[in-house]
Amino acid sequence: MINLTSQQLAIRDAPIPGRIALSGPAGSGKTTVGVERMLHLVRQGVFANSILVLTPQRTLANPYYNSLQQNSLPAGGQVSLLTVGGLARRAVDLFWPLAAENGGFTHIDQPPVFLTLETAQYHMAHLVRPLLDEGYFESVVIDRNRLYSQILDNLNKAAFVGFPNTEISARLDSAWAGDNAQRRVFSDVQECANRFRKYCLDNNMLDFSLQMETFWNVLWPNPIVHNYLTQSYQHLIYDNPEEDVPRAHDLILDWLPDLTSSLFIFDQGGGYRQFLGADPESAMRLRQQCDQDLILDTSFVMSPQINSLVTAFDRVFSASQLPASQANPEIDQALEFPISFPASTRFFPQMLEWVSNEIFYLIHDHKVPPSEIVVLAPFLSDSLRFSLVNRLESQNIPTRSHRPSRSLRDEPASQALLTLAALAHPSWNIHPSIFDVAYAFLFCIQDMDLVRTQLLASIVYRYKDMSLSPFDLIKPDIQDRITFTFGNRYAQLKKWLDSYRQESAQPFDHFMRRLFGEILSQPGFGFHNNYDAARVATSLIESIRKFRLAMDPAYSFQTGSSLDLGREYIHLLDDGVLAAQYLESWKPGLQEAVLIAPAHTFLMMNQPAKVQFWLDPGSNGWVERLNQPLTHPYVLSRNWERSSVTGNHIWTDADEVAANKKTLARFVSGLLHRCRGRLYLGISNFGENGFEQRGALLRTFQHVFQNEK
Amino acid sequence: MRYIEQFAWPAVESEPLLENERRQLEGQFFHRLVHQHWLGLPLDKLSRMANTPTLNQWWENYLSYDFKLKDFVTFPELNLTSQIGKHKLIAKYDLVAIGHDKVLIFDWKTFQKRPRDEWLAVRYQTRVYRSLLIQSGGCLKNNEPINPEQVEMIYWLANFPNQPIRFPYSTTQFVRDWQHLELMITRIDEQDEFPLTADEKKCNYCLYRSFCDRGISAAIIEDEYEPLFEMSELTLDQIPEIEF
Ligand code: SF4
Repeated sequence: MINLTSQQLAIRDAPIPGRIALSGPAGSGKTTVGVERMLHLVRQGVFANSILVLTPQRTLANPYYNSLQQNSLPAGGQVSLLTVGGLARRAVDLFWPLAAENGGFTHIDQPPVFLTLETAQYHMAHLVRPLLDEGYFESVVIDRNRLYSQILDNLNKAAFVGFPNTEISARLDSAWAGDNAQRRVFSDVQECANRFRKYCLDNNMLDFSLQMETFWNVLWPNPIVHNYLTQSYQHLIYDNPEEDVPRAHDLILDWLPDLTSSLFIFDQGGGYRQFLGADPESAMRLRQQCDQDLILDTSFVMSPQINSLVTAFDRVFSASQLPASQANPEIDQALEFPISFPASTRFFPQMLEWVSNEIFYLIHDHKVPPSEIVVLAPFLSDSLRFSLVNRLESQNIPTRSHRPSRSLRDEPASQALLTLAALAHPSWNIHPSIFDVAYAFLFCIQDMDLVRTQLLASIVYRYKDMSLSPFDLIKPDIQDRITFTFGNRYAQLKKWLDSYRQESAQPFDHFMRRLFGEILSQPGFGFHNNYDAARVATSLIESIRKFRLAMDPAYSFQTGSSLDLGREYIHLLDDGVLAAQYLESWKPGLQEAVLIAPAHTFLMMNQPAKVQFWLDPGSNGWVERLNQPLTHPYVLSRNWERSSVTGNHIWTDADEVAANKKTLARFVSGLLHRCRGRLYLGISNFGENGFEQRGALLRTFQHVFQNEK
Repeated sequence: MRYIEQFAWPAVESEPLLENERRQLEGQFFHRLVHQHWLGLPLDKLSRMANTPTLNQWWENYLSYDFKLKDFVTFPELNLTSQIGKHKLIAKYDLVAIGHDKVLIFDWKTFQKRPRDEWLAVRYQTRVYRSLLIQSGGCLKNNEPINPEQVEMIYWLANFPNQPIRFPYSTTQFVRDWQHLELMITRIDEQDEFPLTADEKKCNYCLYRSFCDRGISAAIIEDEYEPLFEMSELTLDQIPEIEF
């Protein structure tokens, strides 16, 4: 049973009907109140199906989800936990016959095809590639996949903010003061966005932006849909609206008169997802509509020392400019603050060594549970993650690395499956190398070692026609070296592939399922007892299936083209157009481990920790936004609309500096509000990339310490 | 394995795979159409979505059948839940209709062959759906309890529209069903090991065949098409995605 303060209790038990706005800093118990209010409503006999809990991102709904699982509640319906994007998608799916006709889709008698980020990128690539050959985006030097994703991102921004998608280039252009080549780029962006939208409408395909626009423009105004939604949900708990997009706020503002009760929970100082379209100012409109505006301002998380650090930072950030770079980048003594940093580390690996040693002391000497320690970096590259995890695991410290997703391309299990798929489909003309084949044997034939698999592959595999010769034809002494047990398994695998080659074509995901079930997961083969590999195989097969269905919107189930689809899938995976990412599942046992995560991900997990390590505070990655030449998170926002009503407004360097400063202040405050005890700064003179580090976060620390001297 | 250990195992459940996939998707489309119909979407817009011969046939069968629900309050695609032991029991109903003195549960089935009544009678779905409605359905009637004698479960068969299979309910059956479910759940909770089934025929239609070393290929489904795991489609993990 959670002990609530009298103020929390009053909010939990607030009368129905009523509209409450609740705000406060992170760690002041706001979400706890939200969860208790939800449980209270159900226990009071409110029909659970009429309660909607909205969050801008699914991870933020975890406390609600966990409490629904863990608490014994009266039998009845179920609370809905949704994002506005999820709500829109479900509405489009359910009310498709209305959406298809009025939303401008061509095939009103066919079902919709919801595009994932992957399949949207695939179709975008399909449309944009020929234009690149015609000279589109000539002056832009970025990875093609980033180019595609930024065009999609622009469409999303139009849908989130609520401006016509045909105005993307005009808006970007009007804020641009640089050379004219960039203006041409903006017009290329617009042309591609227009073509993509038309292509989607012609093929009943909906990327994320079109789902939102169809919901907002076509379905929400329709009385059947409107009544359905407003009658289904009468009680709303909206947690972290400041991390949501303006269109989400518009929707709820419109819905408000029909809601019996509502509770809005604002994180003071939030807005970490602004680069994804979050708009804290727009969210304030919801607050203004509430009968009660309550504040919880006592932090249950921060120690008084961390609190004083927050105050010191606030003072520096409220000064008009960030301090200039100092001649001596060494930080002076941190005085009273609960901050530690290495005495002197020149190079990045030395700093990582210091981090892992400090974590070891914290766990062993100070008995800090591993789950109370987080290591944060602005970005988490694979090499950084690998170096840290290795160092910690060599000291027997469990780690969990929260990256939202992993690419299937990099998984040995999927590489093995794709190599065998290429061997089974010679017409694809994808020739795996002898090493790929050896590694596929290594993975797929249980207990076979690398020496034997390389020997086997070098004898049986013919690169030219991708054929495999029989084990029986190998010289007896070599057969002995490989062993008959492994030889026998190889023979089974070969037989299966040979007989598949004789059959007629089948969808690629079906081929994979049969390969997995009929051979690779049978006793004696590599997937048999390997649950992680089975999980990877499941994700790969699901990704292929989605790809197939997205290519066959009418579900015609034609197998004729499936061969080409398989080849296409593998090519796109190799090119990185299909990221084929999958969510890593969280094993409960691993929760007792040190978390290594990008700072932004940690903020969105919204779980405090006793000790935080900030790696490389001298890096500009803490401050500067990603280079996105085809889009602009600030210009394509309502704030920009609001500030530029009086005429042309140009995005200047001064705007960029001011925006960066604001973002940094928000980040620092957000992280410190989620820190119970102590901060460790992983400082080194040279950063991960080998350059000297003097970024704004480091300079701000210097300033904070100097002020306090 | 699927529920307790949550093992993903992407093998083939039953053959013919492509045909089964097509049937399964058609079944889903049909459920979706009926749901949309109960939500009041215009008939002309719905009818054009019934765009394959099978779907069209089911849809016409559905439209020409009189479900006699004029005076009922209807809840299509309804999720209900109840605590059972340490767990939550969740069911998704195709349609629940509340009348003055009757509560009807409808389940749409797209079986190719009409199943035997006895086969359906002992299925968990029939027992869980009725008993759970008694436990949790009060919320549909202003928190008034539902009397088991008022409840009837009706399997309406899209291929045999005039031969629905009806299962009335009674207090005795309810007590027996709920006790049985509690007992089963306690047994599962207490069990550390789960022996392989003695009925090896089941393994022919099971995803985990290779895991359990119970054969190579999936068998062809010959009679009524009913995937073994149909009832599994709802798990607690899906709570955040509960549909409206
Ligand atoms: S014993 Fe048979 S039915 Fe049971 S899980 Fe294993 S394969 Fe499936």
